[in-house]
Order: sequence, then C-alpha cells, then structure tokens
Amino acid sequence: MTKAVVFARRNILEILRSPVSWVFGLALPIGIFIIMQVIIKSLGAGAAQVPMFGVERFTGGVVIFGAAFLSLFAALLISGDRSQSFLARLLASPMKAADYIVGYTLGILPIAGAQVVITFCVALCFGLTLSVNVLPAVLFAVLLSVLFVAIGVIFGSVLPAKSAPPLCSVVVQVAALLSGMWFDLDAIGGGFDVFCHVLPFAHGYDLIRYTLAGDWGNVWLPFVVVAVYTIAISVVAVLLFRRQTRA
Amino acid sequence: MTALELSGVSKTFRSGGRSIRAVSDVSFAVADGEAFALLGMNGAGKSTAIKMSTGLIAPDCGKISVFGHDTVKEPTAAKSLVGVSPQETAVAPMLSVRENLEFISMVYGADKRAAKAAAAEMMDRLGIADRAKDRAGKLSGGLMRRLSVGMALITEPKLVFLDEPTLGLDVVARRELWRYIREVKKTASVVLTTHYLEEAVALCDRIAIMANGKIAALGTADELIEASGADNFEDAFLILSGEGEYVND
Ligand SMILES: Nc1ncnc2c1ncn2[C@@H]1O[C@H](COP(=O)(O)OP(=O)(O)O)[C@@H](O)[C@H]1O
Ligand SMILES: [Mg+2]
Repeated sequence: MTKAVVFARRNILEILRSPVSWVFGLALPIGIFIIMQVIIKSLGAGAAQVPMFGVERFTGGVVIFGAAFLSLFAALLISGDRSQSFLARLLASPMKAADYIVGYTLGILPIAGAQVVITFCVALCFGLTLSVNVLPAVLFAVLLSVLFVAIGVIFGSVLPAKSAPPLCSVVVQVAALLSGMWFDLDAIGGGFDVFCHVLPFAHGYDLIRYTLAGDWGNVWLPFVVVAVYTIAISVVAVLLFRRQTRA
Repeated sequence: MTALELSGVSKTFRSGGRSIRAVSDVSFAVADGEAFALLGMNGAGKSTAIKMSTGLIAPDCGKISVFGHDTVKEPTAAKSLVGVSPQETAVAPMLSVRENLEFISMVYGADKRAAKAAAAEMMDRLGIADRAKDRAGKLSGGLMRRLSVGMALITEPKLVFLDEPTLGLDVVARRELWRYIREVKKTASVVLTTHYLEEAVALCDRIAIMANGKIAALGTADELIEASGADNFEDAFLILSGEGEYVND
C-alpha cells in the first residue's frame, strides 16, 4: 500500500508540474464559464431567453467539460510512462498490480476533486444558490471524474504516446458536444437526442443540473446510467491496463 | 550461487500476421559476482532476453531464475533482488534528479529518510550532485542515462541489468560510466548488453555473442578469439555472429 502512495505522489507531481494540466484542467473550463456568465449578465433581462447558459444549468456543462479533460491527463500520464519505459522500470520492481491502479487513481482523483471544488466556488461567485443541493452535486461531479479518468486509462493503456493524447482530446470535445451543454437536446429531439442519451455524457450533464435544481424525481435515471457506465468502464480500464502491461 | 540462469528460453512476437522469433532456445548462467555481456547487433534479441529476465515479459517456454527464484512463479522475490536500466532512458520527466532517485528507492521499500541518504550518495557517486534539482526530462542524453543507471543501482540490487548503458554517450561520458560500472561489479553481478565490442571486453568477465535470437558463442574474450580462429576480437565477433564474410576482404 505504501508503494501505491509513493507512486501516487509522483503522479500528482507529474501532473501538477505540467503546464498542460493547468491550462486544460483549470484555465479553460473556468475561463469558458466566466466568459459565458459575463455575457449572460451583460444581456440583462434578455438572458431569460437563454436558460441553457443560466448559472444553474451551465455549471453542469462546465463540470462535464472540466471532468472530460481528466481523461486527457490519465492518457498523457499512462501512455507517456509506457513509451518512455518508465513503466517498464516499475514493472521490474516489486510493485504489485493493485499498486499501479491505486497509484494512478490516487494521483488523479485529488486533482479532480480540487477542480470540482474550484468550479463550484466560481459558480457560487456568479450567483449559483448555495443550498444543500450543492454537496450531492459535488459528489456526483467526482463520480463523473472517475468515469473520465477510466476512459483516459483505456486510451493510455492501449494507444502509443503519440496518438493517445490527441485521440483523447477528440473524446473530450465529443463528450462536451453530446452532453447538451451547448444546445438543448430536448429541443432537437429525435434520433440525435436518443443517441446522446445512450451515451453517458448527456446523463452526466442532467445529473448535475437536476441535482442543483433539487429536481430529485429526475435525478435517479441519470445517476443510475452514469454509475453503471463508470463501473463498467473502470473494470474494462483495469483489465486493459493489466493486459497491456502484464502488471 | 548462480545469479541468473536461463534454460531453453524462447520468445516469439506476433505482430500484424508476421511472427518474429526474437529469442530462440537460449541457455546460459551468470555466476554471483560475475560481469556478463550480451553482445550483438541490433535486433539480435538482447533486450528481449533482459525483459524476460526482469519479468517484464513471460518466456514462451523455458525457465529463468534469479538467485534460485523462478521469475514466473516467484516474481516478487526475484524482482526485489534485481535492478534494471532499460534501453530507453526511463526517468520521470517532471521529477528532479533527486526526486527520481528517492522515488525508486521508496518503491523498493526504503523510508523517506533512507531514500534521501541513498539519493545523495548516488548523486555523488555518479557526479550529478550539482544537478540534483534539475528536472530529469530536461537533462542531456548523457546525464539522463547516468541518472537511469543510478536508478537501477540505488536499491543495492544483487543483480543489475544494464541494457545498452552507454548508447548515445560521448567518449568521455562513456569512459566515466565504465569506471562506475567497474565499481558496481565489486558489489553486484552485472548483465550488460552492448554492441560495442571494446565495451564487452573492457567490462565483462564473460561474453555471450547473440545473433538471430541465439547464443552464437560464449566464453571469455580470449576463448572466443581462440574458438573463432581469428587473431583479434573484432574478427572473432564477426565470424562467431555469422557475419564472417566481411572478414575475408
Ligand atoms: N514487442 C515486440 N513486438 C514485436 N517484435 C518485437 C518486439 N520486441 C522486439 N521485437 C523484435 O524482436 C527482435 C529482437 O529485438 P530486441 O530484443 O529488441 O533486440 P536487441 O535488443 O538485440 O536490439 C527484433 O527483430 C525486434 O524487432
Ligand atoms: Mg536492445
């Protein structure tokens, strides 16, 4: 277990010392949030016409957007460790399979947690109501982070260091697009809406915004979908990582 | 005591419909305290032999043991006795030189205090103490390789694998690393791969010449020269590794 903690500490340093993490993990999602809110505020009364970007709803979108970038961190870290033989060196050490899984997870989750907390603090500054709903919303946001980290582990385990990060950023953009943070899926409806709701991203967005709104009747479906996806993808990620590395 | 023993070890890679027999029925033993060279051209199978010996990949058949511990059946016992410097310099790029050394030391079970002391000593021995705070990813090729070798040795392994430790080093850095490897020989068994003849001769007690996944010849430098009928090691190498036609010109 202590080996896992030593490894987690290294992973945290590796991520925090890379400028990419700060740009994509914090500056970009928070920046987009602030820009949208400033625009909405400047529209004044007209803002009622764009409920999409009201602070309660848009917080859900930015949580998804930020969490999606965590998959990039995981993919960067793991594909880099594989290609630079750093992982080979560790695999020749007495570290056990669980040490890698726990080490990578503990290395990324605190960063995910910090990102979520900062996102919500900024949202509160822009008028998100501080209610009891915020706490479960934060917890659900962390769940979404786990989902995206697992997706990143898959990309990082299977693909070489050159293609894992770019392909993962495509996933980030697609996830954000299909989540419904930019346009109202209900209004589009039809096959596209159904397609988006087969994937977990739109449910993730719904999960956060319904939770923040205290609309509990609508929370359970997205919660179940996101939870099932998270567990399934995490299991696949662990299996693929172990298969690729023989850890 | 035998430090390393391979018996009847083979490995075939399958990629895109083709299959490559990287290591083919290889057997040899390295005695405790011995320095042993795997000498061969690119693609001869040296790195694959090392990867199997360090438990990174499993052999298709055959048996490998490290100080009596089977690398497949008792991987943890075997791994804890071994240090490895992979062919590609394997360092954590965002960690400093000192942090890399401390990290490896702690992964092998040292506490924070012991790791700090070991890292400081290793940096002195390798002559990289003045770079302690530099990010490993920013080091020159030579320094990075020295750090990589240091990371293989900081855990005081009883058996050290150095896969092409001097690849890409300039003459001065290479000689400096040689001097250090000679130091290491006093306390550990060493298996190193190289395609520099003079390196194998200068550093190792015995040399195995690998070609096409097989051990083409094995012995001391003198024995290999005698067996080949050549009058110098370079010719002996070419003859024994099956590239003899070049010699006759
Ligand atoms: N993971 C792999 N997949 C497919 N082929 C491989 C793999 N690793 C090595 N090989 C092939 O096996 C042969 C031996 O490689 P290697 O052991 O790296 O040789 P050396 O270290 O002596 O240069 C080469 O032909 C190489 O292309
Ligand atoms: Mg090699």
